[in-house]
Amino acid sequence: MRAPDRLLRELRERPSTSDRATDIYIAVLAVLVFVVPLARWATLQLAPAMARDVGPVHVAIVTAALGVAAVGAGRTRGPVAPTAPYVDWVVSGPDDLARVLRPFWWRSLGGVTAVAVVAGLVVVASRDTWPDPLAAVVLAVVVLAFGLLLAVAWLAGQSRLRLSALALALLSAAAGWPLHDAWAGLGTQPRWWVMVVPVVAVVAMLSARRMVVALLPSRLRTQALRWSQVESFAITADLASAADVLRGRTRRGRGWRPTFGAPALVRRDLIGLLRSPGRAAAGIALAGLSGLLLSPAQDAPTPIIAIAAVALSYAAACYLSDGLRFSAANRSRPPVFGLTPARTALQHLVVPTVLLVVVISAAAAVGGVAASGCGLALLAVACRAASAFKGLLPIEYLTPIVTPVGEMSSLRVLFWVADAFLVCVLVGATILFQTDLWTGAGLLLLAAVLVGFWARSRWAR
Amino acid sequence: MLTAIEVTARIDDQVLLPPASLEVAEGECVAITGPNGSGKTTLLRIITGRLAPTEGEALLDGEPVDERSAATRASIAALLGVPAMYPDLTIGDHLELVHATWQLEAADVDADLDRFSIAALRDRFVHELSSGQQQLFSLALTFARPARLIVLDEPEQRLDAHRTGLLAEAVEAAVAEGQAVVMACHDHGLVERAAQRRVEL
Repeated sequence: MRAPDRLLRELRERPSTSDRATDIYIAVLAVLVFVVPLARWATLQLAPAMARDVGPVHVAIVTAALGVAAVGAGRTRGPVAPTAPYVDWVVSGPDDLARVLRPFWWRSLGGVTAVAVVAGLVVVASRDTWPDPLAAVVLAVVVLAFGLLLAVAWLAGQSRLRLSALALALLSAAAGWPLHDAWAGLGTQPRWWVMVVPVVAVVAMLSARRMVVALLPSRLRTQALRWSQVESFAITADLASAADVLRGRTRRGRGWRPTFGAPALVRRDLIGLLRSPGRAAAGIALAGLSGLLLSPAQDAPTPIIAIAAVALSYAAACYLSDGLRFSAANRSRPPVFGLTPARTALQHLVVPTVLLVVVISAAAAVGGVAASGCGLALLAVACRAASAFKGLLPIEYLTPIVTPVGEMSSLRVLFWVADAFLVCVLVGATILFQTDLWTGAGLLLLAAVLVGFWARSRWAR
Repeated sequence: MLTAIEVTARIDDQVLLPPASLEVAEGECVAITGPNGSGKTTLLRIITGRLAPTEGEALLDGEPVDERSAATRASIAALLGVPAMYPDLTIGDHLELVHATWQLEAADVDADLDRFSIAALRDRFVHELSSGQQQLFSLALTFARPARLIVLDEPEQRLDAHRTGLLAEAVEAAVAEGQAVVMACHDHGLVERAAQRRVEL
């Protein structure tokens, strides 16, 4: 019994001083290397946009999206994220669930709060005039409280308490109004009614214990194992396998055998999408949002909207191209189906291409920029194909690259993983932001063709 | 139809497969036996064109076997590990897709399922199968597609005695129809029943 006792003690033990020092050192480095430059860049980009009229509805749309995303994220990986051994040896033991899980909840809460503070600082620093000091304090409190609200929404998503999750998502959306007014008060004087957000956040925090206790240890274990697998795949830059782990299990439509005239794999992809309505809806919603952003992106004083539109189109392509991803990831296995690899790839491209072109163009047509929407859709699909066909990380990419400023192999791996996405965002956003409608549409089409050749060269390897 | 002449596989000084030869004719089942690590799977990867031999050559109808060749892909059905299966298709959907892509208009999904006694699993998704059921489904997929040569790597793994008997029947039926079968196998009963020849590594 000594070995399990020692294991339990180690699992419960607080980190040593040297561990804490290392964590703090890494956190400070991350802030200096990533957060500060990113915040500075965001500040410069937001500054011209701040001069424009941003209404409470715009803010509410963003806060509602954050609330829904927090609830959704909780279903995959919640704020209470112990390791699998901790669940097996400590959580499954006789101790009070709230007590053994509390440290994980507090840690995540701290992380969300820190992110909220940084976001608030970026927004305030984007102003070109000094704010009213009291109003700035009020805004800081409201932003902090909104961060707490999001953290509880994240926890509600993890504990699968549907009513609580729904209420918190609605509260997140409603928080858009006070957040907007707290911001607007910076130039004049504080508006005290916005302090309703901290009150609501405190009430929400009071329900956190109930949500922590409602967590099923078996679900915590599943999440821990799943994320351990995702981390393993992410370390080797095998994002396709990581996506397979995260992908929800198909359970709908098993008895559905539609017969309609289409090539076999086109039919397969349509059936796959219909059986995963959540993925299909997410993909179409992201594509629609991307299309809606195209018109403001071309008129905006900052490229940040163009970047968001292109990133959303790429995300939509990922959601709608499951068949392509799966086929590309498994192409080294012996063939079962009677199609050549080229026909397999082409047939798998049909559904995402048609859906993205139709949805993004239709949404872009609202702003009168359907041609740009069509070009962007084709670029996003081409980049998605280039990413799917790249195969496994070349093993030599893991060899250390020692430079005077440190070891850089992880940077090379990062670029390899994100190359197609970076090309999509850099090329797409630059064209959208810098050119007029028809020149932009033509250049996007040209870029899509060039990326298509790039994807083909990767597939042929 | 298939000839492997003194093929070997090495990585640096590590020998994965010592020199081995194999000849398989149509309508014949050859079992490859030997202890773990003797190179059975490596030999199967070479004769299916998935691994180039370090020395020697593997020929299909007198031409080098190459997985990139359309003729090789059309001629050889291989079960080496778990075949690619779509997570959002049921077992029945997969077999329908096999029939559609190989243009087997007269083929019947139920017959493919009955061959391994898994008709009750028709509407299950792949992630809803036990490991033994997944092996049976992998075999059903491999036998469902048209091929002149069927290559199986330890097809008996995770199967009970009854299902191993069904596997032997499937191999016998394929051989009776003129297909060639090469299988790496640890089950002496299956080898005795289904194989005409045995190659020991």
